[in-house]
Amino acid sequence: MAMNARRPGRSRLTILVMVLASITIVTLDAKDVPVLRSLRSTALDVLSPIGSAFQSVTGPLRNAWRGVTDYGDLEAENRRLRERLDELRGRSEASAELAVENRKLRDQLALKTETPIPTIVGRVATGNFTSFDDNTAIVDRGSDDGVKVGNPVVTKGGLVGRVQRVSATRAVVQLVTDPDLVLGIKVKSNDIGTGRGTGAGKPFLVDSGIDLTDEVAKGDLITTAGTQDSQMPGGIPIGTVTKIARNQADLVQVLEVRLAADLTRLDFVQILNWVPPS
Amino acid sequence: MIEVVLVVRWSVLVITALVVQVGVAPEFPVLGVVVNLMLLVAVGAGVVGGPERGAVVGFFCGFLLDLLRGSGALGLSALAYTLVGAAIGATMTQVLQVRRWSSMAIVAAGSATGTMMFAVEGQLFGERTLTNPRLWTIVTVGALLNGVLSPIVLRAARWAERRDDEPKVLGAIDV
Repeated sequence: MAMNARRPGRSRLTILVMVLASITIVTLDAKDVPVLRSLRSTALDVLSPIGSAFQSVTGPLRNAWRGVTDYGDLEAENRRLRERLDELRGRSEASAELAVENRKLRDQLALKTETPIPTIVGRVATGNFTSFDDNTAIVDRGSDDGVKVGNPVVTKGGLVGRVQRVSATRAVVQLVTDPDLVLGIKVKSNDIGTGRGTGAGKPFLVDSGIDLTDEVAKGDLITTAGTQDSQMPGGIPIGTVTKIARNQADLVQVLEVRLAADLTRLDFVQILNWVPPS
Repeated sequence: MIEVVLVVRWSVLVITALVVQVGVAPEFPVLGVVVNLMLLVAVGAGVVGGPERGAVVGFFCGFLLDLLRGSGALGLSALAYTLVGAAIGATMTQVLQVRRWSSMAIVAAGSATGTMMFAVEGQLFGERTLTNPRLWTIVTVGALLNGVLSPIVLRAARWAERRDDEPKVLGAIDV
């Protein structure tokens, strides 16, 4: 043990310099200094592939580990998925009929379908490096692939989040569970409100805009509103209403929404080549 | 020359920890908590090398972790780990004898302090870290994991801190 307590004056000075250096970095980052931004992007480009490489090597071990540590969660999820499957089987027949009817009506009215947004398929590159990053995911596509800050990210299930930062080969996605990501939403009755995440593994919450008189029921689909200045294009499924509470003080209904996309096991995602209007 | 050797050894240790943090730690979370090896190395530097070493190693460990984080302000981990590395180092200079179990407890306590410090700073910068519903799980499980892993990291830290001009028997502190 070589306790370095022989030069207390120098020791104090070194500690002070390190503290000041940290504060300087925090301050410069708050001002979005380009050097730090590019340093961060480079770190993401250099280090994230290491995570991806280990991910493929440690795959079987990881699965075994998760089987042990997440056994209770997996059991509950299995039960929930079986219930959901039954529910969806019932719905699919009704949906098929509605789709046929919709097509006929569109043909009658000569309506054009909405222009599809080009997508970039990506894959979650690595798990989160720290425990405080559970509202972000890193995807193996970056600016070299055409990804831009603000692009929505979806799966077949529904909305995953939006691109928050981009490096040449990686994109950091702010997940829909992040309380800081406030989204315009639309309910079945076409009423528009706003909602936000409440943290990883927690429901999405619609807490403004849906008046007490607006028609909402459990099981209703919530989609992105896509209004002017919205962060997302319209019509992307966010989830289904699981709980409705009446906030008499603000005269609104507060909706708890179960997310349509399974964020606990994200793998392949689609990045929509769409940016919010500036 | 001795200083150069020290820098090289500590660099090797920090980079190794970084690679393990990036490659292995996210794959094996415990109760959803990812072990924080960078914090563990920062605390280990304080335990083994004193306040100055704790601060310097803590700064670099924190800064590298900040660069890795997908979101949040840069420099928050650097500040937290600098302070905790220095604080643990200062505490250790007052301790005459440390056994293996107590060193594990000290590392666990240092890790909990570092995580809380980061959470407080994050909250000040609008990151909702202090109001994170899983904060206490992250602090407790993270501290326990670091405590359990501390013998390995402290051994590596002793290797990094060893000065070849010093006697092999290094006083009463036995970590």
